[in-house]
Amino acid sequence: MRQKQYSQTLTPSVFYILLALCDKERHGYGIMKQAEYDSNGKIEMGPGTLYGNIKRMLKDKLIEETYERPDSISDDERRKYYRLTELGRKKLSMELERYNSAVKLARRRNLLPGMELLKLSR
Amino acid sequence: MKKINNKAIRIYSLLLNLYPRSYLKEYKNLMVQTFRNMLEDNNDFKVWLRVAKELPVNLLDEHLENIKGGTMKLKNNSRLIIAILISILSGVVGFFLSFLIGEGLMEVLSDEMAMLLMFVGISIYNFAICLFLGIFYPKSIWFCSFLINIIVWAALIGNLKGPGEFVDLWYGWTALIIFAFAGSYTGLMLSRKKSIQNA
Repeated sequence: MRQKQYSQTLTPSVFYILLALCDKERHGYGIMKQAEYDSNGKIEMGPGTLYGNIKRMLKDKLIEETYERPDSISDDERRKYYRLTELGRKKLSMELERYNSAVKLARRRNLLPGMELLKLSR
Repeated sequence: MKKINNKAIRIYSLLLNLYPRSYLKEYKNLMVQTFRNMLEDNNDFKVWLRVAKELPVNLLDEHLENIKGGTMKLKNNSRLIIAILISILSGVVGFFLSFLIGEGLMEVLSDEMAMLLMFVGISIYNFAICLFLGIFYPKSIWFCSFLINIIVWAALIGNLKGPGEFVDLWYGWTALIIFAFAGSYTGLMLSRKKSIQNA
């Protein structure tokens, strides 16, 4: 059921968590900050939302816990780090592809804000 | 680095106890750690506001996932929402019925006999509602009994005169729970039988 849900669309929180983990492994708070940064402050997760999503994503094998610690000297060893799985990467690519198609379509139909101005200036 | 308010962390840890135990076992320390990091980097008020916004929804979500074995989300299950609404509505009706029946019976019968009949009536009522919910929503065995009983207990407390008497009536509310669970269980069994026959 959950797999089916992910194959259709990702919730904004799940999408930004996957996006935050696409370049390197991060701990919970690192994911939270990165998601906030990537979404220009639109995704404001608290610990409950963050770990609720992490729990479900671990179960669905979109992410996995990693025992490699990027900065083992200064890091708090109680922290858990997470990274994308192959499935997670695939789902993220599919979602980005979906967005890409939607943006292309919007461009073709002049639906994006500012497109009218571009058209007039040509 | 900003000085951390340990009282805030203690309050947050206490609030986390509202989550299901299995969830806490895995995530409590991580959540507290994240909350601490948030306090280090942000204004306390902003952090609490974020926690207050997410807490009720997350609590409900985690408890429902816990009940259903971790396979559902609230918004994806309209049958469950209807079952919860029926449970609450039945509880409210039970509340008023117990008042009416209790007072009516006490006028014509002795207090003990009226109380006994009231318990029997509410128990049968609980059984019937939970039977219906058990068939309609087979996984309701825990929460429907729980919701109905909370409201019916409140009615009983309201009906009893003088403090301490409710505690003495442990046999009454034990019966209510047993009847509610029996109803839910029978409903569950009937719904299974039905689905096997349909298959």
